[in-house]
Amino acid sequence: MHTILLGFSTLFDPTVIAFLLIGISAGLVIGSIPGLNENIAFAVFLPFSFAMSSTHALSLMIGVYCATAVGGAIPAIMLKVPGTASSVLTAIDGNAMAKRGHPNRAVGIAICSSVFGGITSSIVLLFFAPILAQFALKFGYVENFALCFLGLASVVGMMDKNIMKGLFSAIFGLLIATVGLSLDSGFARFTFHNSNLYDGVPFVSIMIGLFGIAAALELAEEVFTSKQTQTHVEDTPKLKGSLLPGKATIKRLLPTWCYSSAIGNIVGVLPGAGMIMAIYLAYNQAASRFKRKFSGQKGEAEWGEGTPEGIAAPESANNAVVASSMVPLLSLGIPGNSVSALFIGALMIHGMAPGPLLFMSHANIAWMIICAFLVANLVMGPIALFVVRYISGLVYNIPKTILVPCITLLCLSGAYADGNSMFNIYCTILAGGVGYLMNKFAIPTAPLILALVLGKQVEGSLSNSLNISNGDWTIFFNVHSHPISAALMSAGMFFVILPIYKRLRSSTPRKYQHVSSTKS
Amino acid sequence: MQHLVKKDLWLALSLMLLGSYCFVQSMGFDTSSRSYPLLLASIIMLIALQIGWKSLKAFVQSQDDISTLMHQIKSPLVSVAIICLWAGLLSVGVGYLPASFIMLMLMLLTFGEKHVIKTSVISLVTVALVFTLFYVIFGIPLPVNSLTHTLLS
Repeated sequence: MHTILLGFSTLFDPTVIAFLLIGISAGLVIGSIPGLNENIAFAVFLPFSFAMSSTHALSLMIGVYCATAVGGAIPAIMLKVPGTASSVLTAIDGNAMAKRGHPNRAVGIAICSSVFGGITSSIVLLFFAPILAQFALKFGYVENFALCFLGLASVVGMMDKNIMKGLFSAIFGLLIATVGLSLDSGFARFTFHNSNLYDGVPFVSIMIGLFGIAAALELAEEVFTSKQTQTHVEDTPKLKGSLLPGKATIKRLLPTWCYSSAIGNIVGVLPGAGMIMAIYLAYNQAASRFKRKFSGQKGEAEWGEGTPEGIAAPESANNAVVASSMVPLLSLGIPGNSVSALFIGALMIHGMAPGPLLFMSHANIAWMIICAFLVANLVMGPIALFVVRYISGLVYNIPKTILVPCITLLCLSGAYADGNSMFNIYCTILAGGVGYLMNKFAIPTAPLILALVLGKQVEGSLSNSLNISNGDWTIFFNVHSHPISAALMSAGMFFVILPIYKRLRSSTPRKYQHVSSTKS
Repeated sequence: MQHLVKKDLWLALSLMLLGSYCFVQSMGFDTSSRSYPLLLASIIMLIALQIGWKSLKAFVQSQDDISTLMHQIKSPLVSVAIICLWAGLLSVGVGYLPASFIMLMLMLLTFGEKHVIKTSVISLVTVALVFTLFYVIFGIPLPVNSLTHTLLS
């Protein structure tokens, strides 16, 4: 307990708190600008930390890290353009709810869910970091492949009306992830002799294209259509009145928040799994619950068309990942995702090596980091409510005819900024066109993104697992040697088989009815 | 012939082409690197067959008509052409500021903004704001021309 108090006493220096608040405000603004994300924000702030003391620099970065995921939800809801990768699913139900005339409710749910997810993961980090770090160590190649399989299966299974197109999207993502030098032999695959592709496709650019540019093209189509038909272009939803959700909404969403935060915490602890995996798993879990409890009720939207659970689940999960991704970093020195890898850079600049030794050599700093996550999430709610209202008043009142070119320029600039390369821009434009066409052909883009993130890990884990087992595929289901893998694979199989079984069951009586009516 | 208007049939054909191309390409990889992409390409071809078969069995509906889709994508194609022009200008060294100004001007004009002065002011202010945010405040390098680079350094 005294170590936690030591952390709080270091944090409660007025200047340290001030840097934390600056970080939160900056993170909210950065997250809400399409094209900028937490990676860019961290990369930008990292050089500044040279000139700061370690406590100031780290508190600033924690503020930015916690708040960008919340900021990313704002353009996702208002414009269907995700500000960050972690808000791609918020854009689906969030924007649908805003378009149905409830932007306040959508934004309020997103902020409250984020705060809930953030606080739970901070508490987990505060009290359970060493236990969870031991759990993460049990994940080898076999378990990693099983986890990836579960993630992909849950997303494909979610597309129960369109499972083949969902499956194509996931397989296409995995195929794109094979671009570059082969993990086994270093053979160049699908690179077309272009050296830019040796390291694989630029993920951030593809993400910006698939979601940002594709959304801008959809908006452009809307503007052109309204021009041709001489109708008024639909305005961006306006925020008026209170953003806080009512008691009934909070009561309804509490189970979703708890489940999603738990998923975010578990996934965040596992190195390499990351936010994208967490939001998809949470979204899938929320979909099942919604369909069981609320679907078909009077006044309820269909799943994906503006449900509160569709916003709450990804937002709780992505913020739960933020602090929990620090568990492997602080306890073992293993970064949980790209941002926490940059965090290692910040620690090393100040002469600290992450890992168990950090708690011995710099106990005050290590515990301050943990306490700062809790405080950042506690104060983020009121700051977010203020910043969102200010930004929405400033930005989202702009007419769509002006907003579309602005979004396009921001997205393209963000894509260039990710790698300082024109190649990234070409990839973004191509991905934008592909994303737009995928939307037109009703192919979901969500499985593609997840598969792209997990692609290298899937191939590497599969190849290494099969090497260990001498080509025996049953290794993934071996309850004795790999119980975690067996459980994850079984859950994954369940996600894929259940919608197929449901469809078969629902189609059988129809066939019977058809046959009987023909006979009569 | 009536099946040819179905957009899912065209999708199936495109996926079959994609799958076949990736399959043939993968055959050229070394033995240790080819099995995984071969497997993925084969699955894409199977999915294409399933989508194509399902599309052939289904009735023709207006929303599934390929001509409706072709009509819809015409207008965003103009935006894509303008974005490609922007990328082309950047790659020949015109510089971020003039290229972005031209892109925004053209986009606004095609979206129906009739006043050239208003359009110019909006474009100028937007480009200046984005440039200040990325290049000046955050120090993120943008593809500026040598004149801008000299002036700012």
